[in-house]
Amino acid sequence: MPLTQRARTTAEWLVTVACVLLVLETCTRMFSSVPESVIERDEVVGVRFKRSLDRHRYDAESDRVVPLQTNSQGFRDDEWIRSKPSGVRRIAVFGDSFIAANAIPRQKILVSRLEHHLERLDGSRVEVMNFGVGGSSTGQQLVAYRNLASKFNPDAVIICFGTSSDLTDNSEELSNNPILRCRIGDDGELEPIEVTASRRRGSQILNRYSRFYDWQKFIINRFVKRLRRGVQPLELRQRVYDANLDPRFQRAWQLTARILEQFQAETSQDGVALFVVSIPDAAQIHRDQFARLEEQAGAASRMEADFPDTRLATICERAGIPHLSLSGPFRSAAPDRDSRSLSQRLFLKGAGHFNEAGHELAAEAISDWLHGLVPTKP
Amino acid sequence: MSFTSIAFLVFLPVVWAAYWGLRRREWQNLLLVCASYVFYGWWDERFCILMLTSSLVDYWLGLALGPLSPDSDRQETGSAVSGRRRLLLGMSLACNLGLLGVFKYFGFFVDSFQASAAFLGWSPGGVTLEIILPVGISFYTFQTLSYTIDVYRGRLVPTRNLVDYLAFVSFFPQLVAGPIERASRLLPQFQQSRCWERDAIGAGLRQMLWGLFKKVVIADTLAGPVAAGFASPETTGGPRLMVVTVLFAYQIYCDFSGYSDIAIGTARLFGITLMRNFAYPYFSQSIVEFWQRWHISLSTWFRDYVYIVIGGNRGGRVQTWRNAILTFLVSGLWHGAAWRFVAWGGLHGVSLVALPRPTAKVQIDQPGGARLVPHLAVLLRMILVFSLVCAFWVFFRANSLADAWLILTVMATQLHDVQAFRELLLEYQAGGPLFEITHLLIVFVVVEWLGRHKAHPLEIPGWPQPVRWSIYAALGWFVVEYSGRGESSPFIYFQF
Repeated sequence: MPLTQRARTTAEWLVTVACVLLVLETCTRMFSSVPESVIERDEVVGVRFKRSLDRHRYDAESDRVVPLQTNSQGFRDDEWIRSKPSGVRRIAVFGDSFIAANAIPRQKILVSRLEHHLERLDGSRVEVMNFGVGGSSTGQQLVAYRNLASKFNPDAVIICFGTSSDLTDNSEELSNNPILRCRIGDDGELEPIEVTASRRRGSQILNRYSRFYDWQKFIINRFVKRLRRGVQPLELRQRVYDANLDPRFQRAWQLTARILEQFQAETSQDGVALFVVSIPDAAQIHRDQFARLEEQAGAASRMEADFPDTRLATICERAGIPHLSLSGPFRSAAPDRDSRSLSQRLFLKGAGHFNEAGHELAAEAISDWLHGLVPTKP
Repeated sequence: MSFTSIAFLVFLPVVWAAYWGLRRREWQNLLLVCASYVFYGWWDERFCILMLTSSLVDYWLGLALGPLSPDSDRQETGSAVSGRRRLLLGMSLACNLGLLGVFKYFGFFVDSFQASAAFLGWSPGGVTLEIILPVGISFYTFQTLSYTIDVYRGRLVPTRNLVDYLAFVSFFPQLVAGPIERASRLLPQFQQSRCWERDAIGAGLRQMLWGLFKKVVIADTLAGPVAAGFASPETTGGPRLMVVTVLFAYQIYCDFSGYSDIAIGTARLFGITLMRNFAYPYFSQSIVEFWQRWHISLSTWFRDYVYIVIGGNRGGRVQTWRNAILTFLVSGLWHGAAWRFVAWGGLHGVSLVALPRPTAKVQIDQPGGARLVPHLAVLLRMILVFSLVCAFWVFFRANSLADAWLILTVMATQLHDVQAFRELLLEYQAGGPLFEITHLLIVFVVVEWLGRHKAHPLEIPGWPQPVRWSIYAALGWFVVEYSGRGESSPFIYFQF
């Protein structure tokens, strides 16, 4: 093919690709029902919301429009003042989407209600800082504490450990989310698994400017989930309830234990009290849902609803970290333990994140447990 | 396995790659047979036994008929030969129609018999059979029947190659919902080598994309409001029922023609050409023209194997009308084992004979004429025919004859309900689902109108490359986006 012809063909294809990308971006911005991602990744805290957001978003899970405001640090909270006012106890709460709670107005989420209940019980000012971000893992939370939260001089840190997802999110074997993670090195020390700088930079740019980039990630994730569900109805993360431990889960528990030990070491060094709260999944509370998981898991599995809570309790006990499981209070609040019982629903649509009643219940349970336990740092 | 399932997304490329990796026609046909049985057995493996039985019976009967056909070399004449030929054909008819009768119509016949007996004051004992209706049985039995009938008539030499024959019957793109192919058209394609043609592959992919767009974006979006509207007609109100009926007209059109497009496009990927099944039926100017554009493979099948056989237009006017109405009644029954389908067919038959016929021959490639902006008379005729077809669709979609009658009555008596029209307008202005659906349909109708002189509007190989690929990208985007919005509804014609 002569050079001019080749150049013309190449130019034509470049124009075609540009037009296609433009059309895809336009279609996504005009017609997509997939919500724009409000999360961005960085090496300082691993993952955070886009900073200084102030918008209203339709949330499909709660089927309503919810205001979403984030502070300049990229978390769903008021602006934080670096120096802690005197007489105020600061508690930093880490967690994933259960704590970020995009589907619920901010004044009704666990963090806000916890602040209210603690002030009522303790009779003194408490400031609860919301470090919750969707998709956050314990390893990321350690990095976020180290690089950011510790600078605000908290008196206590609460890690809200989601039994249905945090274990798999910690492990590169069990989750392929490109998030900041840790691994146990040959020397037994925790070491971060770095995402390459160019991939990070590229991802940040695309995240910020391209709605189509967000959309295609969402679509691919959904497709892969459906494909996996077709092959294996039980999602990998739901195997956390299988007491016949898969070696990958065994290693994930070891890694989680190591991360929590490191967390304890760093918070102790800073004079900060560390607490761990298990956030239950709806399937742990509702028998009908857990029965479905057991059916999907098959006869070779030994599914136990309390298995992850028990493992976490053991890890915390060994590390000297006070641990609370919310499964008990949630089961007491839903004695029928049937997700179809509308009056006892504590999760959105009976199966997802906490609804407002769930947030309130969790806040009450944690505040009753914490009352009197949180010291004030000098 | 549905065309819009993830399983098919994996199945098709694997089969396609293996197909073109095999150089020899015989191996390709064998692969197609195996793949087609896997495709069909994905619903229920028992269905495969049924299809295989039906195929083998007609294969052997075809071989037995061959030497006895009028054009065979062995020119035995006489009533004995005619008798044997008719016996063999009768066996084929009995087998195929018997399968349909048992699996599709048994319950209907029993219920109708009991209803008639009750009317006469007699209550015979009920006989019930729990039978699953095998997907596609109405399609492949008609296809195999066309084979034996054409062999009987001497129009086709029966094949001695079982694999070729099985490939013709079970060819997966058209197995469960057509187009219903004639053996004289499709079987030779399996008996010849197929060539890899890049243009044909491209054309096939374009047609598949267009079919997916119609099914996933339009038909599935309309399914929800249609189901809600027809579920409780007594409370839905006249104006909303009118809207919902129009929506159903487009739902069934996009669903079925979408399936046909995917089937035809998929077949082209394998070097096989299937017949066109839809030719812009809603741009028809008469009921006669409508049936030359809607489900063409079925309407021509009934024309050739029922209408002409029972006399066609060879008698006087009254016999012609009788034959046409009978044919449509049977066609209605083919669509479903319920009296409302028979009523639907009958209405089409009556309107076909009662309404004025077009004076000129229908030009299949020029629906609505050649002008960009149609004549007022053409436009009015198209609207009238569309309105009539929509009214008949009520019988097709309603849950029962009584419901269909109720819906039509409500529509007719509540046309003056201004408040209901106002509510619909407010709903549209609020930007809800009605807004989205209205704009989707307007764009769709305009695109179809502009592309009506081609087999489908996406036949644009001559357009500039950036424009073509931008259109493909946009359509693909919509298919992916809408496939995630709620549950995909099954193809409507799977139930037939």
